[in-house]
Amino acid sequence: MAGSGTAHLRDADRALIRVEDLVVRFRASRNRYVQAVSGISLDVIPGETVGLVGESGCGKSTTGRAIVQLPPPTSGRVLYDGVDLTTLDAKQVRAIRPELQLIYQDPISSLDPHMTVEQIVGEPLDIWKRGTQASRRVLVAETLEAVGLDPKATLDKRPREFSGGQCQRICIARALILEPKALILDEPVSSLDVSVQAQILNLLEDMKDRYGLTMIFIAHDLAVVRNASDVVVVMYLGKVCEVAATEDLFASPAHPYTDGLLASIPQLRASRNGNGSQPRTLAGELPSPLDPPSGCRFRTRCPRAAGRCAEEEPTLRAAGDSGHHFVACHFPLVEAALAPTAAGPAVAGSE
Amino acid sequence: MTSANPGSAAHLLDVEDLSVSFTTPRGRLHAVDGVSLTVDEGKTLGIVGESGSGKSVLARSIMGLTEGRGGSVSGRVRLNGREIQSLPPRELRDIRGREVAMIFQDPMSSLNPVLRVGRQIAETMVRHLGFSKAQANERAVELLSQVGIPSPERRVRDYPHQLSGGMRQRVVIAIALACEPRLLLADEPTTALDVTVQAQILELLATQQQQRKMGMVLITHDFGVVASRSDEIVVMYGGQVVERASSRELLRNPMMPYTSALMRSIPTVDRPIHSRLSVINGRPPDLVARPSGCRFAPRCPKAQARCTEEVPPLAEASGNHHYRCWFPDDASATAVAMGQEAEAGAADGG
Amino acid sequence: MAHYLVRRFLYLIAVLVAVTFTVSLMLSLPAGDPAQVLAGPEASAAQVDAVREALRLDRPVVERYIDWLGDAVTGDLGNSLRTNEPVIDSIRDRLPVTLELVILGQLLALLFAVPAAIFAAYRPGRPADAATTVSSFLMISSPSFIVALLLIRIFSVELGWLPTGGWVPLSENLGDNLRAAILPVIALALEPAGIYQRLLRSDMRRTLDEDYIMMAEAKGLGPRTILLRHSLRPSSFSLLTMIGIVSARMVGGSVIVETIFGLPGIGRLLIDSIGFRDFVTVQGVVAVIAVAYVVVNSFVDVLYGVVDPRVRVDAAG
Repeated sequence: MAGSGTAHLRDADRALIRVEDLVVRFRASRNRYVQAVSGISLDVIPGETVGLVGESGCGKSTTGRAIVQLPPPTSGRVLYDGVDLTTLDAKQVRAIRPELQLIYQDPISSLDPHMTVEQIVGEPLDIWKRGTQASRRVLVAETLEAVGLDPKATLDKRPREFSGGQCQRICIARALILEPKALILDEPVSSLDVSVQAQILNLLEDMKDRYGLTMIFIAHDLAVVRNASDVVVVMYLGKVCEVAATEDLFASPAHPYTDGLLASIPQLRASRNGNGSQPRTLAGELPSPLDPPSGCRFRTRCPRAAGRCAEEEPTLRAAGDSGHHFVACHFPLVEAALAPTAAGPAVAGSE
Repeated sequence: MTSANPGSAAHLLDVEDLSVSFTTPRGRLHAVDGVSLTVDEGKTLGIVGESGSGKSVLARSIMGLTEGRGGSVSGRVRLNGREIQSLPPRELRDIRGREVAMIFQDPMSSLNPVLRVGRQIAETMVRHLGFSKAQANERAVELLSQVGIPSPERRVRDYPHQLSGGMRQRVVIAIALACEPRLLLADEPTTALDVTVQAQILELLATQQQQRKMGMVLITHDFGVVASRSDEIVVMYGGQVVERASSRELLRNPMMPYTSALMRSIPTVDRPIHSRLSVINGRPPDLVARPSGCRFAPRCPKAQARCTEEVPPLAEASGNHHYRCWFPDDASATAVAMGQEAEAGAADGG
Repeated sequence: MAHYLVRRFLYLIAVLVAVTFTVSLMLSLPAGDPAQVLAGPEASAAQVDAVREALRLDRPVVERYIDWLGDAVTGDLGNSLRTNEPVIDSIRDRLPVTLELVILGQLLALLFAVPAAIFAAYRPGRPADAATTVSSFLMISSPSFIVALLLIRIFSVELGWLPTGGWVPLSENLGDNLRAAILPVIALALEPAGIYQRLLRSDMRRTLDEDYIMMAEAKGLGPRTILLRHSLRPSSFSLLTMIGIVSARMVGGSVIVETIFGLPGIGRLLIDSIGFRDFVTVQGVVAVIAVAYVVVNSFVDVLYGVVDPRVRVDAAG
């Protein structure tokens, strides 16, 4: 499956974040390179949450970091509020940072163990010289309360005295104190216990409403992504497979990979295959990113693969009739309801 | 208190009133408290719980791996009717890897990084079955093929870091199956893996279990995994068993509030998006300074005075469904439980 | 792999050049006329000129160094300012002595340290652990010259078992050679033995906490297999590094031991030459020691790859 194409992008002036043909390449050894991200595009409208989902090696975390230019991508455009971040110098990018914050997977190691909570959450205010000493203290306390922590009980303590869930709250407070416009969350609940996950996910929903946030939610857990997102982007081996509004994706997945992913979720078994038969699991292993398959990268595991899939990389085109459902596949499970030409670019021309 | 283990025939695994505690700077940490359970041949027991529930410590003490690490163990563990707690170390080593085998959570850290994969599989057979190195190596290649690893003759010479996560876990499974154990303990076998690989591995375990007629204990925090793969489910909290029933029964009719709360707090794919998930407030219990009464009471939305005073016993409802709660969710169950307590209509409706 | 070796080789050259150049540079440092300093306060003007001539001190330092380097790679390290004999000959005569001491010293240290560490790691907190800890610390804190003198006092003077000093080359008589070597080797090996034991014990303790050791136990493997096959190798990295470093230090440490026991090794040659201001010899000996050091450490690097497969440069990439 190839993730080329920008058919799924909406009007440029509607998007807060717009990524076009992002490529991120790493050096594996002397003269071998790994393309972690091979030409993906996505966009996020203000107030929207886009879920970026995929398994290990798909490039979702790398995408998140490339968007905030940490480090800058190898090529492609990252437009934030109309400005291409890749064309800015370090100082200019830095100036944008208060508006675009990142939250990481492991909350405990994201916090400096030598600093107190007050110092941690207040540090952004110090760095950006917002307010006075007194007003900063007040704001820190308020933000801590907003994330469900009692300031009196937490301000003077250090991270090691807190659980994983609480540490993640501290990270969220730190990210929100500058009142950003957008949050990129890289697997924010993966390392937390189930019951704590629920607490943090609820918190994120609350914060989104309260601060009017736009979010990109990166996760490997489909159920989590489903709960949190308006639009879901499915990635595989550096490419985009499918983009759809959440309900559409889960109700009628168009891409064989998405279908396989959904079928692999243990919980889903009973409801999707009510007759009790064992659903097919996705066979095979992830190909090596050093040497990805030609044409569609998913073809080595795809039950629908044909000759064409090896020769030509599919580009994203419309699927279904919901309006916002795109798939990069030559033989998708759901075809476009309308004639193909009305929905997107012609199939020829891969990247 | 424990409930008696049913059945007259010897179970494959019979754990009776097992308790494990450790000495820590803060005091005695009670990781496992009076746990009883059974597993039969060809059946799968799922143990579900979050971190701190004691499920991993439980598995390790069944294998006798906790005593060498500072744990003090009481209670009885019987394998095929034979008590293994009191065995001398050498005999215990004979059983480990041979009659009962274990799979750990993270295949990267459970495989020795400096030894070839084939060697790690072969050494169990040399040790337990008296194979020669050559025989063991041959068999190792066969095992790799059985667990679904392509080109096993080449893979057998690889080191763990040369394999992907899914393949490593298959190697771990091959090691566990090498001496044809009767019982397999799988401690979070798929937690560290991608969801599609997870499905493959669970499928593999199920197939192998069926073919070899093994008993299996599947430990996980993932309700979905346990629901689709176990015959019986045990829910653990704070070191205790808080509910035990056949999987169908448990999913249909959870009685202990923790179980229902746990099931509700997991995001599933059949709820509307952006729904507020039902939360269990608070944090897992302190296993050193344990709360008096029911361990879950501090977080239970239905807690009453009695809950914080007395630890509820594991009571039995109809159909071999056990629960540990003074005020369970199912009204019909309280009627049965009342037979033990002679208290009328105290149940707080769900 | 070839690429890797070439890189290591270039590194070796770079270090050698840096070290030997620095030595050359030292001549330019003291105030006053280096030739005068080297020739000594009683030297006549002619002698001073001779020294200046021999060492080409009138030339700029870089040129001087390049001349030296050109000669050195053909094996000509100049002639001793004291004896006027070729430096390379003295080195050739004396190097085997030091080498034997260092090699035997390392072997003896490991012979003690490895079993002691394994034992202590296996039973932490028990008497064996405490005993080895105490003895290791004793060994590390005892200065080698005191140990050497003590050994001589006990074994040579009191008991008369072993000679007080002197050297019998290996080629002459193995038995006598070993009798001459025992005490100096012990004195030399004491501190490294203690260090190795502490290091290995600590690494093994950490390894024994790893999941794969618990997995090995779960397979029913016995303690010996687990200790020797499963834990020793992953725990040896710090030890390997240390062996490399200690090898170089031992050459320096051999100075004291060679002096006390009167052994004709290069440690003593170095110290004597410094005392005699025999700069040419000093430069030559330092160069040889630098070569030895780099070679040993490159060897250690290769050993890492042998011990830890994750480090190996994979041909397949």
